[in-house]
Amino acid sequence: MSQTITIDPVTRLEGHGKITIHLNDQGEVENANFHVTQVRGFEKFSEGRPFYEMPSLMARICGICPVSHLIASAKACEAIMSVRIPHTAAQLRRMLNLAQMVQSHALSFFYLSSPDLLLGMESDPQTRHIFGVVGAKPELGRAGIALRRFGQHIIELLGNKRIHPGWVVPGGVTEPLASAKRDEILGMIPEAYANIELALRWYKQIAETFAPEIEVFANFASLYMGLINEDESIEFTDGALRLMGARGEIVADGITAAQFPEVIGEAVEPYSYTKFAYYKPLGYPDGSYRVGPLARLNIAKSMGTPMADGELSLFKQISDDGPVQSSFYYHYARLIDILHGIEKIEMILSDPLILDKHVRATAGVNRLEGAGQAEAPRGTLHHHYKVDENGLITWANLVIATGQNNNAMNKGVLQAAKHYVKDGKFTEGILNRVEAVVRTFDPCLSCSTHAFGQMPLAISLVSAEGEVVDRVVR
Amino acid sequence: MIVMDDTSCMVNVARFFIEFCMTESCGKCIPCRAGTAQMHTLLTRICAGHGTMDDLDLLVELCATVKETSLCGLGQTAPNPVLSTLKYFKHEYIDHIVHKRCPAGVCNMEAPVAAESPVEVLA
Amino acid sequence: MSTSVDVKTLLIDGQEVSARSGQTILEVAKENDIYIPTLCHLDGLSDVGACRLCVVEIKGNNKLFPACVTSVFEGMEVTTVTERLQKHRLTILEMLFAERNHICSVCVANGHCELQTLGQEQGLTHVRLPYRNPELPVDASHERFTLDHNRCIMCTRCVRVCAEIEGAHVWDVMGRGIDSMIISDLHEEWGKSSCTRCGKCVQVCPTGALFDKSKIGSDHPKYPDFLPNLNLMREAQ
Ligand code: SF4
Ligand code: SF4
Ligand code: SF4
Ligand code: FES
Repeated sequence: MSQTITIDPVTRLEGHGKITIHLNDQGEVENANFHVTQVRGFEKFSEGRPFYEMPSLMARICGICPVSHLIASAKACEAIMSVRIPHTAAQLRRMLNLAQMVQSHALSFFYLSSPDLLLGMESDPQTRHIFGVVGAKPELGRAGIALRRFGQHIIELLGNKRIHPGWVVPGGVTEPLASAKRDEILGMIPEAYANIELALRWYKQIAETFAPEIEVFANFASLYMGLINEDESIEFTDGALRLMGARGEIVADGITAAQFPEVIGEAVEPYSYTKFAYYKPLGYPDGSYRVGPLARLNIAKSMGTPMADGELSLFKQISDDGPVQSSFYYHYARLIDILHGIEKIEMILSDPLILDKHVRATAGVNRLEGAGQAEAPRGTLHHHYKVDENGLITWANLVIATGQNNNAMNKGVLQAAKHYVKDGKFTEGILNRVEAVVRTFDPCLSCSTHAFGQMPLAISLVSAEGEVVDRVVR
Repeated sequence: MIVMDDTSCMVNVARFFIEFCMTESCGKCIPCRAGTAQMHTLLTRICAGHGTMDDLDLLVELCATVKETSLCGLGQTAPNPVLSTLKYFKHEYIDHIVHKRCPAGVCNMEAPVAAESPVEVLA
Repeated sequence: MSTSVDVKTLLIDGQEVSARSGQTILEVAKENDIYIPTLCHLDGLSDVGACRLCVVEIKGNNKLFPACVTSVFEGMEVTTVTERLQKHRLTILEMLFAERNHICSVCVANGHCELQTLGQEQGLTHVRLPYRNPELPVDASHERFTLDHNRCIMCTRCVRVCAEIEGAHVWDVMGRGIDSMIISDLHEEWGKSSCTRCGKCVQVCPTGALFDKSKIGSDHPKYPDFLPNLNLMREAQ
C-alpha cells in the first residue's frame, strides 16, 4: 500500500511550511515535497501606493530580514529616480545590511540548528532547543545570544529601532551617523570576534562527526548565484550577480538588477505558494540554482577581509573539484559570513567619510520602471517595480531567496528521505533529519513573526486512498 | 406612523430605513456619516443570517452614539427605526441571528460563508 | 467711549471660571487648562463642529453639546468627563479607524498623528466595528506633497486653512455621506490645481492623509501652531 507522510508544520523555521513524503507499495520513498503553505499577497498590496513608501512597506514582509528588503526596495526606487546615492549613505547601508546578516545568521545557526548539531539529531525533542544548548554547552549558547544581540544593537543604533528601521529611504538614509554611535559600535567589536572564533572552533570539532549527514543533506550538483564586486570579492549590498556552474565554471557574470528579469525565470508548482526560480537559458528545472551563504562562498574569490579570507581558503579545500555541493556546509558558510561581517563593519567605521552629513539624494520620477537587488542572509533578493507618471506603483514583483532555493530544498528533502526512511518506517529522529535538511537553507517563509521554541508537530501516514493510517504527535 | 402586518420583516424594515439615512447623510459629522454606514453593515449581516449576538450589542451602542452626538436632525433620528423595532420585535432579530430564520419570509438566508480570506496581509 | 465687556461666570468640572460673552466652552476650558478632546477644531480656523469628540454635558439638559461651537452663558454648569461621554468618544474614534484604511505601522504619520494619539489617550485598545476597507486612491501628482485618501478623516481642516488663511480655496468636499471625499479644485489632480504650494494644509492635517514627500521614512511632525501667530500678525498690520 502506498503512503504519504506529512510533517506539518516543520519546526524551527521562520514561518509555516510542511513536508510530505510519498511511499510506494514497497514502502520506499517515491517523492518528497517541501510546501510553503502561506501566501501574503504583498505585491498586490503595494499597487496604488506611492513608490517612495515601498521600502518601509516591503520591510514588513519579514521580521527576520527587514533590512535586506529595505535595501533592495530602496535601490529599486533609486532606479526609478535615476539617482546615485552619496558614498556615506552607501557605506552606512552596507553596514546595516551586514549587522542584519550577523544577527540573522546567529539566529539560524545557534537558535535553530545548533540544537541538532550539539545535542544530536535523535536527542529528546523536549530539550532540543536553544535553552537545551545553553544547558549543555553554556559558552556556546551565550556566544550565540551575544552575536545576535551585537547585530541587533547595531541595527538599533543606526535605524533607531530594532525591527523595521525607517532610516533607509529612496536616495540614501535619513540621518547621518553620530560619532558617539560609531564609538559604541567599535567598542562592541572585540567581544564579537571572541564569540565567532569560539563558534568556528566548535564547529570544526563536530563537523567530522556529521559525515553521514554531509553525504545526503542536499548534496548534489547545481548552479550557484550571488553578488560579487568587480575584484571578485564577496558583496552583499552593491555589485553585480554571478552564476557559477557545478564544476566551478562561470555561467553568467555581471548581471545587474535591470538584467535580472531577462536572465531569471520563475516557475510555479501546484504544491507550493512559493515560486521556483531558474536560469532561463537552461530552462526549468535544469536551470535551478542555489543562493545564500554556501552559494556566495562558492562564487567569490575572496572575502576582502583578512580573517574571513583565511576561513574561505579552508572552505575551498572541502571540495577539490569546483564548488562545495553539500548543503550541510551552509552552516559553516554562515559562520564565515558572520566573521566577515564583523571585520567589514570595523573597516567601514574607519572610513574617513563615515560621519559625513551628506546622506540623501532627492529626485522625482525619472523612469517608469526600476529594479534593485541585495543579498539577504538567505540569498539574493530582487525587487522590481513599475510606476505611473505620479510615481504610484502599477506593478511589483519580488524574487526572494527561498524561491531561488526552492528546487534545491525539494531535491534535498527527497535525497534525505530516500536515505533515511526505509520500509515505510520512520521515527521522530529520522523525520527531524529530514526537517534539518530544510533548516540548513534557513528558508524564510514570508512570515513576519517568529514563534520561539517548540511548535507542535503532527506526522500523518496517509494511504494512497487518502485514509489516515497512523498519526504521531509530539 | 407606518402600519405594517406580519408579512413585513422588522429587521429588514430597520435596514431599509437605515439605508435611506445612510445615503441621505451629508457626511459632515462622523457619527452620522460613519455610524449609519456601520449600522447598515450590521443589519445587512443580520438579514443575511450572518449576524451574531455581539453584533446586536454593537448595534445598540451605535444607536446611542449616533442619536446623541450627531450634528443635525437626520443623524439624531436615524437610529429610531432600529431602536423601536428592537424594543417591540427583538425576537425577530433573535430569530435571524440564532435560528437563521426570517419569520416573515422576507430575508434571503444564505448559508454562512467563511469569513477568512485566503490572502493574509498586514504585519 | 469705553466698551464694557460682558463677563459670565460658569462652572467647568466643578471649577469656577469666568468668560467673555460669546466665547465657546472650548475656548474658556483651554484658557483654564481644562482638557477637552478635539479633532476638527484648530486654533486659528473657523469651527465646524464635525467630529463631535468635544461633546460635553450641561446641567439641566439631557442633550450633549459640542464644546467648540457652544457659547457660554451665565451660571452654566459643564461636565467634560462622564462615563456616557467617554463611551461616545470611544465609539466615534472606533468609527474613524474602521471607516478607511489606517495601517499605522506603514503610515508616515505614525507617532505624530492626532487620531492615533487620541486613540491611545482615550484607551481604544481594539476596534469591534467591521472594517470597511474601501478602495481609495492616492493623489501623488503634486511636486512636493501627497494626498492619501486612505488616512483622511474628513475633518476639513485643509479646506478651511486653504480658503480662510491662504485664500486659494483649493480643497473642497465632493459627494455625500460615507462616500464623501476631499477634492482639489473641480476634482482635478492636486498637481494641476490652483495650489500655491504654501504647505499650510499639510501642516494642519491631523493624520497621514496630507504629507510632505521628502519626509518619507523620517519623522514627520506637523506644526499647526503657526496659525494663531499668523493671524495675530495679520491683525497687527
Ligand atoms: S493617519 Fe494616523 S491613525 Fe491613520 S494610519 Fe496614519 S498614524 Fe494611524
Ligand atoms: S499647499 Fe496648496 S492646497 Fe495646501 S493650503 Fe497651500 S495652496 Fe492650499
Ligand atoms: S486631508 Fe487631512 S485635513 Fe483634510 S480633511 Fe482629510 S484628514 Fe482633514
Ligand atoms: S472639535 Fe468640536 S466637533 Fe470637532
